[in-house]
Amino acid sequence: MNLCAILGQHFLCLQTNKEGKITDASESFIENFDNIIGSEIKEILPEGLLDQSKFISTYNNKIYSTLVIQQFDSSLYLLEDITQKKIDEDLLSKGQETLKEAQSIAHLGSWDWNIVTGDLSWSDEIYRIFGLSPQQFGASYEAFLTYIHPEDKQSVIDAVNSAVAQKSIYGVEHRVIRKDGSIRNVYEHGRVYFNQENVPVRMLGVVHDITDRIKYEETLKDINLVLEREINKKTSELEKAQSKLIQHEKLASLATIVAGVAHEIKNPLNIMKGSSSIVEDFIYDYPLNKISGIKNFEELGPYFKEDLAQTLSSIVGQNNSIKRMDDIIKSMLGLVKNTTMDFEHKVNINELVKKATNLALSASSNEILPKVIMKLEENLPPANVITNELIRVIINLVDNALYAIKDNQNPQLKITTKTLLDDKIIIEIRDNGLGIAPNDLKRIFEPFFTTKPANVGTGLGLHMCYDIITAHNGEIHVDTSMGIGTTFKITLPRENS
Amino acid sequence: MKQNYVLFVDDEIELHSLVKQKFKNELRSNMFELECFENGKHCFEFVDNNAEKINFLIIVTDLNMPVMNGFELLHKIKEKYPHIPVTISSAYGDRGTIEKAKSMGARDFYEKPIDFNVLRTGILELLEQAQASN
Repeated sequence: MNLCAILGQHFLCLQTNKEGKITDASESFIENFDNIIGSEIKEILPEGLLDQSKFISTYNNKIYSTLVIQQFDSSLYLLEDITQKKIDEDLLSKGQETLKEAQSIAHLGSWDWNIVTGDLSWSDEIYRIFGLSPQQFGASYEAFLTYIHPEDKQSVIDAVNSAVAQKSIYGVEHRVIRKDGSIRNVYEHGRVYFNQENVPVRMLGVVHDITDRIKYEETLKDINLVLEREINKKTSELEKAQSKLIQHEKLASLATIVAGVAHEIKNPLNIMKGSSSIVEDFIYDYPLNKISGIKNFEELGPYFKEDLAQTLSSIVGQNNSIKRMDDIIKSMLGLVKNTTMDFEHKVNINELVKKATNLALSASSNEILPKVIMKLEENLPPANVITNELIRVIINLVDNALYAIKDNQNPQLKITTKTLLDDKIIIEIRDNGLGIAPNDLKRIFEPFFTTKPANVGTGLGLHMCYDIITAHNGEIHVDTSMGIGTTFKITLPRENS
Repeated sequence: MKQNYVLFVDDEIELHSLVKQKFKNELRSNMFELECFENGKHCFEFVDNNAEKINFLIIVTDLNMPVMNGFELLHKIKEKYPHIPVTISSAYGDRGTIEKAKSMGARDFYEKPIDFNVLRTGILELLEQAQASN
C-alpha cells in the first residue's frame, strides 16, 4: 500500500520522484485533476518555498500549508487547508489596525507590563502621546518614569505601589514631558494581576491623553469666571439701583412723616397763636400806663379780674402746647437724625406702634378718617429692633390700610399687639377695605409691584417692609378677603431678658 | 326771643376758652351766643335741637375730628340748612382741601395756625351780612 493512499484519509497528499514529477496522489487530487500522475509538481503547487520544509500554496482557490517530507529519492507533499485560518488572521490584523486607529483618535494607548521580566509593551498611541515614534525605544518601567513630570513622579510611583499592595485599581493623573519640552496631561488606568502565590506578575492599563480636555476645561472655567464676574457685576448694579429706589421709598415715607409732623405741629401752634392774641387784646384793653397808677382794681372796669385770669390761664396753657410741639419735633429729629441702622435694645413696641400710626393718620388725606381701635397688650415684652425702620414699616402698612378704606363710608382700622407663645411679638394692622385680589396677593411683596396709580405708589413699600422685617428675623404675612378687609401680621422675636 | 349763635367746632378743647375770650366783648354785649363742640355730631345735634331758638347762626369748624369730621358736618348742614354759613379752620391748607370745602359750600377757609383777629373780623362781617339780609 502506498503512502498517499494511507495519508490521504487525513491530508491532501502528493509524492514526487527526485525529478519533481508526481508519482502518486491522494484520491481527491486524482478526481479533480486529469493526468496528475506524471505532471510537474510546480504546475500544481506554484508557490515558493517558505523554508526547507514548509510553504504556503494555493490550489483550487484555497490556501494550503504544505509540509514537504524529503525522502532519499522522492518527496512527500502534505497539504493542510488553512484558508479559514488565513481569513481569520487577516481579520485579526485588520482589527488591530482598527484598534490602533481607534487608540489614535481617542488618544488612548494601552500597555502591558510584565512585572517579573520587566518587559513593558506600549501600543503605538502611547509612543505618540509621549512624543516618540511608534516602537522607537525599548520601553521599561524605569524608562517610562523618566518621561513623567518631576512634580508628578512620586504620585505615579505611589499609585503603582498602592495598586500592587492593596490589589486595587491603578488610577493616576500626571503630566508627561516630551523631548521637545511640551507637556501633556494624561490619565492612567490599570489593573494588577497576581499569580497563585499572590505575587504581582503583570499589569495592564491604558493611558488617556486628556491635555485637550483639560485645556478645554480650563477655557470653560475661564469663560465661567468671566460670565460669573459679569453676572455679579450686573447683579450688584441691579441691587444698587434697587437699593437706590428703596432709598427713594424711604424718602417717600419720610415725606409722609414730615407731612404728619407738620400737621401735628400746626394744632398746638394754632393754640399758641390764639393765646398770644388774647395777651395782645389784654394789653390793648389795659395799657400799662393805665394800670401803673391804679390803687383799686375796680377802676379798671368790671371785667378786669376775669380778663386777667383768662389771659394768665391762656399763657399757662401755652406751656402745654410748647411741650406738645417739643415732643413732636424731638421725635421727628429722632427719625431724621438717627439714620443709623443699629438695633436698639428693649424698645417699647406699643409706643412705637402708637407713634407710627398717629403719624400716618396725621398725614392722611382721606376724607373720612377711620375709627381707630388700638388693642395693645399691656405687658408686651420689649424687642430688639431698628426703631426707625420698624416705624417706616408701620407707617407704610397704615398708609396702605388708609388707601384701602378711603372710599369706605364706615372705615375702620384696628391695630393690635400681643405676645405669641411667650417668645414672639405680634403686630396686626387690620382694615375693612377692599381686600387684595388673589392674583395680586402672590406678588405684593415683589419689588415694583403696585396696584396704585403710577403717581401714588412705587411698588416698593411692601417690598421694603418685607426686607426690614426679614432683617429683624421676623415674618410678615397677609390675610385678606375681597370686600371684607385685609390684615397684615408682623411677627418679631422678643428680646431675651 | 330768638338768639344769634356762633358755633365753634374743634377737638382741641383748649381752643374753646381762647375763642370765648377773643369774643369777650361781643359776648358781654349779647351780640351772639358762642357754643363750642368737640365734634361735628354734637354741633349738628345742637342746630337740630335749637332750630326754633335760632335767629341766625354761623359755624366755624375744624376738619379733622373724631366721630364726625368737618366735611361731614358741612355736608349735613348744607343738605338741611343751606342758608347757614359754614367757615372752615384746618391745618390741612392744601389747594385740594380748600377747593373741596368751597365746592361743598364753605364760606371761608382759614388755615391753622389762624390769625384770631382775622377770624374775628371775618365772623363779625358774616354776622353783619346775616343781619342785613334779615
